Amino acid sequence: GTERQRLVDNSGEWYFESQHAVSGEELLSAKFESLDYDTCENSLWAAEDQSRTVWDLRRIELCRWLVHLLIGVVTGAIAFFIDVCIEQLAKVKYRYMKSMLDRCIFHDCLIYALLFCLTVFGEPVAAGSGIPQIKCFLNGIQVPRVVRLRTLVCKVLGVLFSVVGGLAVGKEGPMIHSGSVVGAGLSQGRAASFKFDLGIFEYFRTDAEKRDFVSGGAAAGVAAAFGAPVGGVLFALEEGASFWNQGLTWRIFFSSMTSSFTLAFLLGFYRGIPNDLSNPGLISFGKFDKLDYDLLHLAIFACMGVVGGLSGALFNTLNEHLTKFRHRYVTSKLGQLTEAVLVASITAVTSFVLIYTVRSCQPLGSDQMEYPVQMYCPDGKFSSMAALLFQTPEAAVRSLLHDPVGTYSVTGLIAFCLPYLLIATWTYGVMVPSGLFIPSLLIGAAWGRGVGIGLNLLFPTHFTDPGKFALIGAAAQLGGIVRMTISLSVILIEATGNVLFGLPIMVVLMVAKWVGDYFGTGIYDMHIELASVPLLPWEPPSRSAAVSAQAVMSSPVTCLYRQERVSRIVEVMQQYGNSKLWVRACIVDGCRSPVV
Amino acid sequence: MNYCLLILEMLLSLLIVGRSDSTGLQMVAVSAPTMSPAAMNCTAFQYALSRASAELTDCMCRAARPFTLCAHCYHTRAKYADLHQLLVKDNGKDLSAAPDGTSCRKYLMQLDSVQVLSRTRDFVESVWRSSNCNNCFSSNGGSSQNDSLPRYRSDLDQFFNDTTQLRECFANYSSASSNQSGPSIVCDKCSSLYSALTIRFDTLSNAEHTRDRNTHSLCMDAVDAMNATHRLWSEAYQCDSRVRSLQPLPLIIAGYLTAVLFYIGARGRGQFKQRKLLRQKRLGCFASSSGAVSGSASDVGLLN
Repeated sequence: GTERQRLVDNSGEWYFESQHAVSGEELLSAKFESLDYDTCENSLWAAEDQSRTVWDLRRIELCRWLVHLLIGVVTGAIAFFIDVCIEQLAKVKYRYMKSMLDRCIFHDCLIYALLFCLTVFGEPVAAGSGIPQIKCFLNGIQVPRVVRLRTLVCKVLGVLFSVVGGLAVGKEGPMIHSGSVVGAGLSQGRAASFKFDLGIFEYFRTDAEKRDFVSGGAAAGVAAAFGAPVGGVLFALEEGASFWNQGLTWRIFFSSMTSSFTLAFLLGFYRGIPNDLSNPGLISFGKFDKLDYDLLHLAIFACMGVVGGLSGALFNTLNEHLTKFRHRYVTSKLGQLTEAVLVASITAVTSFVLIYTVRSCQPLGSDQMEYPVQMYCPDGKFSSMAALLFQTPEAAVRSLLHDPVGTYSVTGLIAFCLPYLLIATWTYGVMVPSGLFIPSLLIGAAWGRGVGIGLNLLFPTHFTDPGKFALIGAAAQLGGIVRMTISLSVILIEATGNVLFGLPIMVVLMVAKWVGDYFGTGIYDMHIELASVPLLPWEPPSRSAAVSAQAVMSSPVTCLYRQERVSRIVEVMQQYGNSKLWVRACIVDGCRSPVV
Repeated sequence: MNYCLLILEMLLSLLIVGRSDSTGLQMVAVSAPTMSPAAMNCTAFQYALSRASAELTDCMCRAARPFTLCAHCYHTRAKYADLHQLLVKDNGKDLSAAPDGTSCRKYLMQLDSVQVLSRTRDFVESVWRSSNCNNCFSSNGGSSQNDSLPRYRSDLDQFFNDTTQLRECFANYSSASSNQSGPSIVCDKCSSLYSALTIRFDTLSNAEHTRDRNTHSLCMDAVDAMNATHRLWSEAYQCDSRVRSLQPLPLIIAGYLTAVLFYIGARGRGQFKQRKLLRQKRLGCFASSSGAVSGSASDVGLLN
């Protein structure tokens, strides 16, 4: 009636009657069930609990630690596998492409160089970065098939080929998802995809225990991806913080340290220097000589944070529209496949166009590229656009952070930034496993370095290192897009290796988040919303304290009596699903009513 | 006392004679091994060391541009290094005690915090190492003192021969083309030599390409010679022939068009997937939820 109508008018966040929500993005999806964290405390359970001896409990605790250790080791090993494969494949690819480019400048066969586009893509089922799914899982939503072994295999292979194929993706988000799958799989002692069951760890086969191990796995994934064990723990804290306790923190930290150590150990072994533990993560920002700053720098960093927030908001808005379009229209498997191929091809074409057009030549040796591309530069020089586009994105970020002054020009960097931003926002959401951290770091590092170069030109004595500004730009852009707070700061601090530089990073992330939040939410939250997942946020919607339950509950109310027939209960449960989400008990005149 | 002054004079005279020829003719014998078995005076040694380092710095600065440091300063550096080794390994036998009674090594190297002698040595060694000079010569390249310059490794030697040939080619033909404009005869006549030279240099530098990508360890003499040649070729004689071709343009346009057409096609087909949504039950509102088609086909995997 009128009362309901008034409610809709006053607080627009309650979408009762939306005339235009035909696709349902503002409504919630009914396919998601919640996980079951409560123990069913019946007499059977009580008897079992009594029958456990002290030694049994100790053994269970020891098993927990053992599983966390295994999670760390396996996650580190997976990260190693991904890194090595990408490195080898990329080497082959770039060597071949460089020889083609060199030859084709003279022999007019550029057209073939363009067609050579190594795009093999993974299965659509494990698409995206996986962070939204893990976030939902850790907060109690049962996302179907998110922690299956098959998902893991698809993810790992998919991310391998996406990165080598030259897509604007990173391997960190998928690493987090992989770690979570490892956590779920190892703790259960069975694999549903392949139908085998080891029969161990049966105590851990509850949703609550599984959730704890998935947190450990996610933290291990972050630690392996960034070389940031503490960042991993904080990521698990920030994303799945509803269920936390001290013992769990310590075990998760153990997992993430083990993961980081395993990766460093294996990489040291692979590079020929055993016991060289200097590669703790897949991303390495390299060694910074000096990262000093003063108040003036901080003020400039804050401005860069604003820019990061704005461009992040732009990125998210574009991606939101694209994602809605994809949900509605690009829905067949063939369509998704075609789209992935198209994205890869256009990425390659755009890279080529950029290298072709931007005239920016630097002497050989100033950048430590493995395959410098000369393109149309005079002999003895190479194209600095190629330094950004002809390497894996991680190497390009390292170039931007560490190359000496004069390697890049401001126009070249701006010319790189805008197309790459558009490509990255277009790529995220395509049905391939793709991480978002590295592309946004690359975009931010590019414009950040542009700012640094500009400042260096204006005040050469005061601003000597454009690499520092590249780092801040990267942090600002990443903060503007993902809007993570403490975990991202710690990840970046650990990746840089410089604690004192934590203050500028934190300032920048805060400013970027505030500016970005004014326009919308972070990208992961946005994808969760678009998928209509019933994820309960931290706070109730603002200005909703006056809304009574009567206004939002369904009517007529479905009632069950205190003593009820089993068939009636089963019928009601089947009709409304097993979801515990919306059950609200209200004792009114002897009637306990589940409200849907 | 007279004996000491005599030795000092001898040393100084030898060193001055050696120093006068600055283009690299080093005929000065290394002093320490040929000295008499009697121990050298510590102060005299200090002066000898100082002279050697001054000579070396002089040589290095002169050979800095064009960069021929490795070849020209090889013998000078060897002399300085030998003297310094003598100091470092001193155990009282070769060098007499310092004026205040302590051993010569302790006196010269361990009694003050500025450590000039050590710093000089560090400077010299770092320049030498950055120039990758140890990679320039074959193992016995510099051992004969009678040569004016040490011998390069055979492959580097060939490279330098080729460079000299190319420069001669430039010299021959550039005078002829000075009254012409545009791409000159130099570019035509010397291009085969130039290509051969670049290929040879690429082979050399790939051979030095170590696993750790951050080290470039080719002899700097060669690198600089190649850079100078590049500069001559591209800037002085303007012989670069890289012209942007328009051949890939149609394919690029076709690529972008395909992407646009794909999305237009997807929109045009209008296949609108409905989702299983959580609808509230409201009295009297079932049939009137506009446009809602509930409970249709299975959901697409939506969380990306």
